[in-house]
Amino acid sequence: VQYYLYIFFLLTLALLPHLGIGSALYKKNIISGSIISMLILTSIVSPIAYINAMHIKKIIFIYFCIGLYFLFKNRKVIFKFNKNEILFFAIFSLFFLWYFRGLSPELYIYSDHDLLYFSWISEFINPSIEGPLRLEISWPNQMASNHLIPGGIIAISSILIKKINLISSITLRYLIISLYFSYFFSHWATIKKINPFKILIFLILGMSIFGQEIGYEIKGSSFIYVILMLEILKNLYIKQNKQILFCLSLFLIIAKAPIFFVAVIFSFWIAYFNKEKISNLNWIVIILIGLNFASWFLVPRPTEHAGMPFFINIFKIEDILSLNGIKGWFITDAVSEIIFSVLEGPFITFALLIYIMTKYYLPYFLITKKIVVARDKTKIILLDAWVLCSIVAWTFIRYPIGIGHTAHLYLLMAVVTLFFIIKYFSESNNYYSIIIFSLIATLYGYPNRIFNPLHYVEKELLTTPESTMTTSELKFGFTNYKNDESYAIKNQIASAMIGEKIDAALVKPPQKSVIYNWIIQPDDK
Amino acid sequence: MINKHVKKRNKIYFFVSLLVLVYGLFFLIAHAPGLIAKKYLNHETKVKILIKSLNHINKVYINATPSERMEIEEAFKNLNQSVENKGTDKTCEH
Repeated sequence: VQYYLYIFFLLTLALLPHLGIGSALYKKNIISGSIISMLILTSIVSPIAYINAMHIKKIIFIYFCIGLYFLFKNRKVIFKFNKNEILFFAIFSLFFLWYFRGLSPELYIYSDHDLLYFSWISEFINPSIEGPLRLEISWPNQMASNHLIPGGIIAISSILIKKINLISSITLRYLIISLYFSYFFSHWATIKKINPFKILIFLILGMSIFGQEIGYEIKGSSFIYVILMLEILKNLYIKQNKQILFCLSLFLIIAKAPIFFVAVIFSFWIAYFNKEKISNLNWIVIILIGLNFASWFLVPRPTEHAGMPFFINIFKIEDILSLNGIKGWFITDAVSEIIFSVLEGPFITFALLIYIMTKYYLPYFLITKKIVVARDKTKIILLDAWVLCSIVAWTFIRYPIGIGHTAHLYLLMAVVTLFFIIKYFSESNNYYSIIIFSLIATLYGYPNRIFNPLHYVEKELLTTPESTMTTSELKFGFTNYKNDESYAIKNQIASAMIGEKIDAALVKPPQKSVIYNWIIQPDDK
Repeated sequence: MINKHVKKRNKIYFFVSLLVLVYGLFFLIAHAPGLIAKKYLNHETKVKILIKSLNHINKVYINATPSERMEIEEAFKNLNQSVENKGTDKTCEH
């Protein structure tokens, strides 16, 4: 508890300057402004990390000073609280801190995938030598180009923490996600004057169907994409603030590198549709996006698995057969378990293709058709662009390694569909449809998925014990960095957890680790 | 106005879904030779095809990068293991 309070206190302090900048950017939408402020700072420091990480702390310090000035200047606007919203926020916070318990540092299963996004945070904030970003778990080797935004957000939030390590980063992510979800739903209940318990019930039922996908996304590096998606939905459907949408959509581009092209089209679509003059702030953001984008290409690329996305050639058999990859990316649920047990071979892939379209996309089109009112057509048209591009992209776009990360698109679509399901049922008086939905949702999630969005992820990680760690395992002494091949990945994770370096000259990075390809190793010659 | 848009949007969704379905059918057609072979070919022909495939894999292996080679070796190790253990489990069939 002490550790949580300590991290929570330092996180709050680190967020205050962003509230200041947020209030300066958007006076009537301070939280969205603060999120944009965090993303601006992260996108400034991310490319710099590849030039000289020593400058990062200075930039954050200057940025925080500006933030604190605006915090003081706009204090009357910022610290204006709505009693109802605070009460709702407290209720939702308790719920989400329990609901996302799988992300809490003591229950979390640390895997080698986390090393890719969080193992360099200490070097990002407190670099040990001049020059580009180093990897602590293979020190002093450099980090290859990567989208640093998810880790960067955690990094700028951990600026005040004395001992930065993987455990502190995971704690921060757990708190940021729980607090943001609490804010989102409490804000929704307050603005739309909906009983928060009604939202809570439909949220649990909705998560029973889509929770595993959302759990998978927030467990990985896509949690910023989820937060941005929810912010876009908030500003479209709850707050109705279209001015901020373009800025948010721009940040979607760098929030998840493998699916950047969908966000690019989405941003263009918003700019075209809103027909607004691009503000100075948005020009700055465009430049920052360009710099981050450039860093992906100018910085040495990962040794493997890197390549440009391409459209499949319908006349090329390898491209057509690459669809088989969705079997590996699919998050199993009650229906897909039946598909896997009844069908076999290519018929499973075909059935999954139909099922993905039905589960993730069809409810969106059915519900938005019903809830659209004649007042504001742009609301629906703007989001349609992302949704339609998402379908085309995950089905027809491939990476050289196959279906690759485009599968994130339909997994992220779960966030959008969940939002509309909660919106539809919490505003509906059709009790028959509510009862049917409740029954389906309970059957879907029963018995393990209803109250644990990380059930699937945990089950999958437990099948690869050689590349995972838990805090209880750490207590049993994975702290000796012996050159033992069988424990190599575990030792990497353990050293990241306690925040210590592994000297690459003494211990070579294990080739089977996910991060191996992101380590720039000096040429043997 | 909005109804008009919803209709137009739903048409696009229908068209895109149709494209996805057509792609799915292409995918099934691409598998047809394998499925037919599995069902109708005799044992000797299957062995011949398997040897041809292994020769093809050999060519791929020669041109592969070291880590790709490791992956292929790993796959073959698993295949051997499954043949030793069960003989007809899914890995072996694959």
